[in-house]
Amino acid sequence: MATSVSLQAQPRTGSGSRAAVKLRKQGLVPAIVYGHKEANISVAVSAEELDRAIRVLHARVLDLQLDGKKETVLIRELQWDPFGRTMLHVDFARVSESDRVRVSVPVELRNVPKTTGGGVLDQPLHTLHVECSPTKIPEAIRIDITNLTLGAPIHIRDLTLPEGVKVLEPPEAVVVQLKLPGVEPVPIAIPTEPGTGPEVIKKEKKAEDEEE
Amino acid sequence: MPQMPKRVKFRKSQRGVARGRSTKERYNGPIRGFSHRGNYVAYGDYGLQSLEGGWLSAECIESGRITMTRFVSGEGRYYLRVFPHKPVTSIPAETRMGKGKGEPEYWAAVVRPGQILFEISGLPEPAARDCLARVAYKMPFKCRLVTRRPSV
Repeated sequence: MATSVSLQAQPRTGSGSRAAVKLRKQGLVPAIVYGHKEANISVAVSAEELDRAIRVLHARVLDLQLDGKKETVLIRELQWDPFGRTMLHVDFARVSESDRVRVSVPVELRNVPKTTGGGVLDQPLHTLHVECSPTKIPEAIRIDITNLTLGAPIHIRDLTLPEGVKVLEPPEAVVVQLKLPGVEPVPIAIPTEPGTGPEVIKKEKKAEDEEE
Repeated sequence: MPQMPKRVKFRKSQRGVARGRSTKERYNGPIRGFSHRGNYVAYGDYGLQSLEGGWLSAECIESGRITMTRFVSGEGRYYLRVFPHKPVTSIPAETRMGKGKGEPEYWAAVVRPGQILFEISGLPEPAARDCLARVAYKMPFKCRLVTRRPSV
């Protein structure tokens, strides 16, 4: 279960990229709080605290302290810089315990298969989209792959999920399987000699023009 | 064999601005901007991220692919995240000016800083780090190892 973490937020007045850059230089991350048909509030949170809440505590739902008021929010979207090093902006959606939220939860594989039979572990789904109560968001969906064998993949329908959690992916989708190496498509190799290359797509002449 | 497109609409394309890293190699300045797509690990567990921009030739991609194939054989899986879509032309040495554009010489992928070039899965971190370090040695850019972003 994801823990609820408290985070201090301060309102911000400026908008636009220049104001956001100034905030980031001060060690803050611009954010917005919205939802529940209330007014949107532009806020700023500490980059260090937010980073810790997400990377270390794996928090999904936060208690946002804003002007002495407490708001329960869900991290709806997180924007990263192109290198994926720092967080640029966060969207907080107001939630209450009675709500049902849709979030993506990582899949964690436990143990190693007893016998691989020459197969290679293939995991098509690294995250699952789930619908649940905001207080019951699982930290991860853990799958024990000790008994995984070649030709018997683990589907969504085979998973043991926590109570109140519904997976939105189709039940027949494969989560993890053992696959024979070499089954994956080999990159296209076109033998090239000087003067040859890929086929050039040309316009087809109309039949009528040819008759004329 | 290096990769190339199966079918193309035009044999030659305009060059764009990217040519190389060093000032001597640059034509109109280095490639501009960052990679805003393909900049996170999507399929595997670990990825090799380019920290510089330029053209990555099909031969370079192929050499990285062979290195990974030899390393992960029978254990993990690897993914190629770049494809050489761009034909690069050149004119022969000691040719007089004019007489039109040269012939296609090789194929290249346009890489911007932040682009994930290769991904790997099914290996423990030390092995993945070792494998991607070998691949990075063959790349014409500075690269770093990246992991999956935390899911929110």
